[in-house]
Parts: sequence; C-alpha cells; structure tokens
Amino acid sequence: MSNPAEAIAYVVDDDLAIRESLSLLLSANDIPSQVFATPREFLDNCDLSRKCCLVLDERLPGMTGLELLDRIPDREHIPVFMITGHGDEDMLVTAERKGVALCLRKPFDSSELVSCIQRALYPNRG
Amino acid sequence: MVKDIGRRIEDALTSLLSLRELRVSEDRYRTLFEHAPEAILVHDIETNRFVDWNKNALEMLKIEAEDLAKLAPQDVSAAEQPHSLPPGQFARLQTERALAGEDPEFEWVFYDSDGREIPCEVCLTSLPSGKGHLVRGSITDITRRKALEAEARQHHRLLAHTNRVATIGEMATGFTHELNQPLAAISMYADTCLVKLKSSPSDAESVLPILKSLSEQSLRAGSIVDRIRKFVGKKEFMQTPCRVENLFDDVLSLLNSELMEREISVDVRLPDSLDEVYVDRVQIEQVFVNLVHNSVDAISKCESAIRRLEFTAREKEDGFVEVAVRDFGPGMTDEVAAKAFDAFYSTTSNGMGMGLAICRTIVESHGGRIEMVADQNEGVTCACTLPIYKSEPNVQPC
Repeated sequence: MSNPAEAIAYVVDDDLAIRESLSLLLSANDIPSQVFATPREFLDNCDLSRKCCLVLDERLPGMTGLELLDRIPDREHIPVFMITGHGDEDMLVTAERKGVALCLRKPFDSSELVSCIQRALYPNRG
Repeated sequence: MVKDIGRRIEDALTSLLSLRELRVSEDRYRTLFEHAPEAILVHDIETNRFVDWNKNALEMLKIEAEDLAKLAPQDVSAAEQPHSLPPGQFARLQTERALAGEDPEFEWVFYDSDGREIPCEVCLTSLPSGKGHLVRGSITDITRRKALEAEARQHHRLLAHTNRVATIGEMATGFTHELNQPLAAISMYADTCLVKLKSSPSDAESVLPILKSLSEQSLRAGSIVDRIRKFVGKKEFMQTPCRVENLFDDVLSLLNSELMEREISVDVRLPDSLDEVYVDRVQIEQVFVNLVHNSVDAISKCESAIRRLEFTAREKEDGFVEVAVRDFGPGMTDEVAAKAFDAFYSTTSNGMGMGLAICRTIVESHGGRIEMVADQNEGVTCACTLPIYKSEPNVQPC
C-alpha cells in the first residue's frame, strides 16, 4: 500500500499488459501508481483527495476516457494524460477542450510520459 | 422324295435368309457402335483384356487396334483417380455393380498413348455373352467441362480473396489499435529495463521477469499479424475437418477490437456435442466476418438496437450443421431480405453489395445453403448449412 501522503499516478486501461508495463515503468522511475481495469473500478476505489494525476486509455469498457472525466467531481486540480490506440482529430480537440494535459498515441515515447507525470506530481523537484 | 428335297431346299433358303437378316442386323448394330458419339470399350472380365472398341475409343486413346487388344483397363488409366478409394478397388466395385445389373456412372481419368490425362465420364453396362463376362464402358471426354469448372473455381477464388483483402482494409483501424497495445507495452517494458540497468547494472533478478513479459507481448503482436496474414492469404480451396467452436473462436478474435469499439457483445450457443464440419476454414470464416459486419452496420444505424449478437449451431438431419448469426437490430423487410444475396445489391451508400453474394457462392461451393430470415423490428438471422465431416466423404453408395 502506498503512503496516502505521497503523490500517486492513477492508471485506467483495460489492457493487462499496458497496466503492468506502465506501473513497472513508473515504479522504476520512483513514481507510485495504482492501476484499474475499468472506469467503475477506478471510481469506486480511487482517493481523489490526495495529490494525484490520471493516465487514461481512450477506449474503456462501458465508457470512453473522455466520458470518465465528466464523472470525476472537482477534477480541475487533477492533471490528466490520455494514451490512445488511435487518436482521431475530433477526439484530440475534445480532449484539449476538456483540459487534458497531454495525448499520446500508443506506442509512445515513455520518457515523455514519465517526465510529464513527474512535473505534474512533483512541481518543486528540480 | 422330291417333297423331301423341296423341304430341305426350303429350309436351307430360310436359314440362308435368316442368316442374311442376322448379318444385316449385325451390320446395323456395328454401325451404331462405330458411329456412337462416345468412345466405347468392351472389357472381358475373365481374360482382363479389351475385346472390342469403336473408332472413337481408338482416337481418344491415340492407339492402334492391335495394340489395344493387348491391354487391360488399368493400362489406360491414370494412377490418380478422383475418388477416395484406391483406383483398383473402386474399379472392381463399379464392375461388380455392372455385373449385378446396375448401370454405374462415375468419373475416371484415362491416359492416352502420349501419356496425356483425359478426364472422362464413364457408364458401365454388362453385355449379354455366351461365356465369360463382358462389360461395356461408354466413355465421354469431359476435358472441356473440367476446364470450365476449374476456370469458374479460379474466378471464385480470386473474388473471395479480393473480398477478404477489402474486409481487412475496412478493419484496419481496429487492427491498428489492437497491435498498438502490445507495441506500447513492449516499449514500456524495454524502457523500464533501461532505467533499472542504468541505476544498478548487475540487477538481473529484477530485469529478467520484465524481459519475459516483453517477449510475451512481442509474441502477442506477432499472433495478430499472423491472423491477418492467414485471412488475406491467397490459397487454393481446401476442405478440412473443423470444429465449429474453433471457427467461431477464430472469427471472434478477428472481430474482437471492432466489436469492443462498438460495444457489441457476442453470445455463442453450441449444443453439447456437435460433429465436425468439412469446410475451407478461411472461406467460412470470411462468410462469418461478412455476416457479422452486416449485423454491426445494422445495429450501428439504430440507436435503440440491442447491442448483442448470437452465434448458434445445430445439427440437421441431412448430414449438415446449420450455423447462424443473429442480431437484434432494426431488421429488414421481406423484399430487402429476398434481394440480399444478389450481387451489387447494397443498402449502404459505401457498400459494393458483393459481401453476401460472395458468401452465397462460398456456402454453395460447400454444397450448403445460405438464407436470411428477417423480421421488421426484430432483427435478422442469417443461417448457412455446412456439410458434416465423414471419414470417407467421397465414397459412392453401393
């Protein structure tokens, strides 16, 4: 269990290999993370009161990543990163409008995602 | 005395006359035999030699009469015959049927004296004879018909292949998404290893399991590519025994990402035991992919449609299994259902209207039938019958 005082990256992706590889990658970079396979699981178990950021797949069971954003109360202070199998233009425009900080198309340069997450969770680290 | 002589002369004349009549009659039959449109060979079962033949037979086999007289049927037959039984056994079976009074008809490949194969249709008949057993073979050269059939098969194969390539093209977005998952995972596993090895170069223990996962993901990517390659591959029509559930699994793995994206679920309903079907696997999977695409299109056009498909299979009494795709979409009118299998008939603006026409050709080339049962507002069921695999599918009843 991670320390609730620590910042955390929440990952929602229905693909097991993506969840596993992303959490290993974050852990190797000293970023605590928690992974969820479905939006439901995430909404039921996440603690949004702690400092966190979200890494969302666009296609999720039951709803899209963008639809999930609408279900999160008071999310202005939570940085959101999207990872998509194929981002079409419409989706990218909507994502930007909804305040998504970064959209990455799978497969992506993982150092870019890692440094964005680091900046979001630890703004004071050099 | 004179009376006696007179009667004898009369008898002699009568027999001379009937002998002449017999000669005339024999000539007439000889002419019928010689000028018959087909080739005729007469085989003596006892001596296993040809004992009679007509001009067409000599021309077809490109052989002189004195040479043919030294030969038996197996000397002018190809080693490979279009039957599942060994040629010798098959020929004996047909001969026995002829001797029993039947007129068996079958295909047979002859060799002419140049060694060229001649596909033929043969009808055997037992001939009356004083001694021994004579069987007449009436032989029609079907080279031309066979060539036309092969040409039609070739066209069908190319058309089916074109349809598969187009289908995969339409599904490219889904495959891209599916393939990008393992690729993204591979890249993250690899970067994780790099980070770990940079900070502690000798930490093999924590890196090894990650490399194992990485390798699994590359196999996953490979299997997606492999599935596409098998589906678009251009190969000869070949029937093999297949389990219906394996066919369904293959179809679902091809359509997986598309169905997920459209949030359509599939229920597979199979009876506890089901005979294997005898099909060209790729082509029957193609039929199913086409049917599912049609259902998905119908469901996507209708907001209120239940987003569910049903795959079913059941055994029919006549040596066939009926497999079906059912949707609960908007359905269609009887007129649309009646025209659905016509080429170039399409209800979508971007459709060529070839999908179902190709499905019908494929199912019919398996000896099966395809039909669509539609109810306005209740969805559509498209069912096709596929032959059950029997260990000797070509054996003729005897």
